Amino acid sequence: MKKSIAIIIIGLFLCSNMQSCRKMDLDPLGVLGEDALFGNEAGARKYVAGMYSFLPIEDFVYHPERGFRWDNYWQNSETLAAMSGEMTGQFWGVAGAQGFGYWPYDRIRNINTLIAGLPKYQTNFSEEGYNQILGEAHFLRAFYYFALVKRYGGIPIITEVQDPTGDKAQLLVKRNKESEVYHFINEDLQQAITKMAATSERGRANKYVAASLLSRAMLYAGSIAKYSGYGNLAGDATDQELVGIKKEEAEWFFKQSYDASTIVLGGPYSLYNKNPQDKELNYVNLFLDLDSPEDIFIKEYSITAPHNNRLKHSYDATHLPNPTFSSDNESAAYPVLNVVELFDELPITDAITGKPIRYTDRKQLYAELEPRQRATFYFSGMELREGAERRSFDIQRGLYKTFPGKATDAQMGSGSATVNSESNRILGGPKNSQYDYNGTKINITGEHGMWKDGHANNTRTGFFIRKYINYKMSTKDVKLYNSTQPWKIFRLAEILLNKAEAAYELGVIKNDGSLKQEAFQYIAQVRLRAGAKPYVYNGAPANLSGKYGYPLDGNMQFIREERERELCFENHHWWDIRRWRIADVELNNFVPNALMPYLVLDELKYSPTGQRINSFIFIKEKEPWNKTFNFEKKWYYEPIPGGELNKNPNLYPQNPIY
Amino acid sequence: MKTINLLMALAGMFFLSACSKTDNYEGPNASMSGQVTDQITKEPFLTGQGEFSIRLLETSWSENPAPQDLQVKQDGSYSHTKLFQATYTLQPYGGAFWPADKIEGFKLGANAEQNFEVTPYLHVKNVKWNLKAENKLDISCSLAAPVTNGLPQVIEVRPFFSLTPYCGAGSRIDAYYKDEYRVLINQNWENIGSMQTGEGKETYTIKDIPLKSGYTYYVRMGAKVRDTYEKFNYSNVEVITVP
Repeated sequence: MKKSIAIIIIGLFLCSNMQSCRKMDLDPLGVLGEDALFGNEAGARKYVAGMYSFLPIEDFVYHPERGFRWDNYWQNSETLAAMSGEMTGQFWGVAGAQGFGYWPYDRIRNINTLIAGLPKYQTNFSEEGYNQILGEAHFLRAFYYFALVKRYGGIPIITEVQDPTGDKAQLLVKRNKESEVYHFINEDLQQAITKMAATSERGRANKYVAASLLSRAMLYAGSIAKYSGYGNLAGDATDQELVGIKKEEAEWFFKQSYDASTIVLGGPYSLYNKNPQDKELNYVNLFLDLDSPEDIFIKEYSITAPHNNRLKHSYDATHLPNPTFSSDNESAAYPVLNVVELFDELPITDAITGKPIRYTDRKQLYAELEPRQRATFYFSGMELREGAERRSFDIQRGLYKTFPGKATDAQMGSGSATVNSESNRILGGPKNSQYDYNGTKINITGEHGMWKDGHANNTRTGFFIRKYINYKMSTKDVKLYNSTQPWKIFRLAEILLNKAEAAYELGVIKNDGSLKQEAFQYIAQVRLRAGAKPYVYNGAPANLSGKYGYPLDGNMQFIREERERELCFENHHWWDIRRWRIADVELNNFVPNALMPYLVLDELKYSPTGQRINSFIFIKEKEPWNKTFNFEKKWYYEPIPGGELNKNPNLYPQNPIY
Repeated sequence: MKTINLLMALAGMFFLSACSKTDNYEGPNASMSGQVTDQITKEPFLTGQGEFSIRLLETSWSENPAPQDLQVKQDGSYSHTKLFQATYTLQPYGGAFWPADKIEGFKLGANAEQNFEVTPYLHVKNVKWNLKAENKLDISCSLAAPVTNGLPQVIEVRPFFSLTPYCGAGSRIDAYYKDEYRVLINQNWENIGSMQTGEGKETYTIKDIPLKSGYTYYVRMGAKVRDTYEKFNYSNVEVITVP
């Protein structure tokens, strides 16, 4: 009996389940449909927020070989700057040049869905609201395509929402020419500029943000058009113009960049100059002040954001030495002397005698240098942190018993130089090892470098990076996943430099001296804020065509170097040396230089109170690990990902030399 | 229970039956070898070990075949014994020579020999060396271009040192692969040589290279042009014995 009741109950239960089958065709409650997302401004805002969060921004959490929003924050020092030779890191080098197979057609499809679906709901929007969202969609799409084209050259342009069950022949889209992709980016951004408003909330696009992207993208296209012919990247992809752009197109692209910069310069932005009396502090604050009139587009971080949003970074902990300035991780990449020397010349050698200049205090070395230079690098002797945590960077390579001769006697630190014999040059490490000189114990190395073998966590080049470092943090807070200073995607100084470069290139192409001179108006603005000495336009510039094997003059080279001075460590230089087609020359067996402070023992003096009066010299040497940078020519383009080639054979031919 | 066991056993056999399908394709049992020569001198092409390759595209297998590269040895020869019998496109690829013609539709049987002729960008000639006091070496060479029209810019000349007869960019003593031991040129041919005869105007000398006593060095000079691959053209290998 019990059994049959149970069966009846189960039977009834099953029947009740079957009943519901009649009404299965309901909209799921947990998923927002098209009408919810596109049907009103709040929904559309939510939809684009998702795209912003995956926008390919090469920021603090970008890893060239692993991708955007990379999670292993202790690898945050493996940056584009450590690939381009601006910094030298630990075990990682130009290896990331082949990228990580970025292929964001899923995100592009999301945007195409928005662009296709939005017109149906136009009546629900205000006119400005509708145009803003549509313009934003075009901007976002251009941003994704620019991230693709600068990596691979020509890639398929897909503007429609493809049907995955559709005809296979239509799904296997061919690659477009590199030039066509840049033209497409131009069209999208022109739409974005017309449609979007002049202002937006921080972190979202407006018409000036779109114009900034246009200014950068068209400058890239112009220089690729002008210089790709000199790269000699032969292959099927070159023959079909999938990579490389015809030289005739250079003028048009440069003009587009020039015009886009003009739009941005007409906007409400100005170079950050809140502390005009102290240009060094002003330049440091430029990267930390959230309320900067120079910011056009920034990415913000938040310490309270859920971890999987990747909205915190570790820049401070991975670039400062532990434990003095960081309580977690260690400093793993250091600016090279070659970049420091691009600014004011360092007073290390006496011009007449050729001997190293003597300093009683290492701080004297940088006292008179360009403020921007001091704000970009931490020199030995500079101070960081407040109150009890305040300490100096203490960088010393070793001791010379005597150094009577010229700076060149040290032969770039070579062990075979007479003056560097083990009995005269004392190197040491690890930390706090001391040398007994006539009964006085003297520290051989500084607290932050450099050990004999150039141990990690301590600089090997004589410098630490200062740009973007948040000096307001307390050392105990400097940990992994604990930094939140925003990343500058576009700031006005870049636009000025873009315009200067485009103007000068146009001046060269059209043989127009006034355009060339105009370029140096923008350079002057950047240099004035930086506190640099004015540069005078040279009507008869030096011919530097031997440098890279293509026509280049001294003014053009100055504009390029100014770009590096202003934008170094902001992930520009890697792309710049690619588009100028100079990477294979600049990074040909390149071993960075270092600046090594030494104490000269036989010149030490003591004051009447017994205080030691130091005698420091600075010697230019090769970086002690001898880490070598080589740029393989194929890296002017990344390879089309193998998985995509397998899915779609129409993507062939592969990029040259792969 | 017995039936279940039986069914299980039967089910197992269904799975096993899949194993009976045999792979009846031929194994890679074809071999191929040959020699790459300099079209001008008719001598073996001067290269380093494994610095370029013969590129094979197996066109009978797929429309977009992945390339297979057979590395070429220092004496310009190559050989491979584990290839599939199929139709290939062949081309000397990625070396310091003018783009070579492809051989299309090459039907590889069990065994084949195929030679190639290539035109080098540069001949590195007249290598002269002088071992001075304190074992410092001066070494010089000059260049000639078999084809001058459209020659990419000449980048640099540098010496390569090795302690074995294998000497080149891939087998070198790294300590000598430095900027101080090279001549950076970055010039078009019209500035450094004759466009008609192809003879270079300059002699490139590298001075005071420190060698170690008691060693025998194998040395050759290399020069490269800014083409796609930027590989070196070499001189013959010189043997320098340091007393």
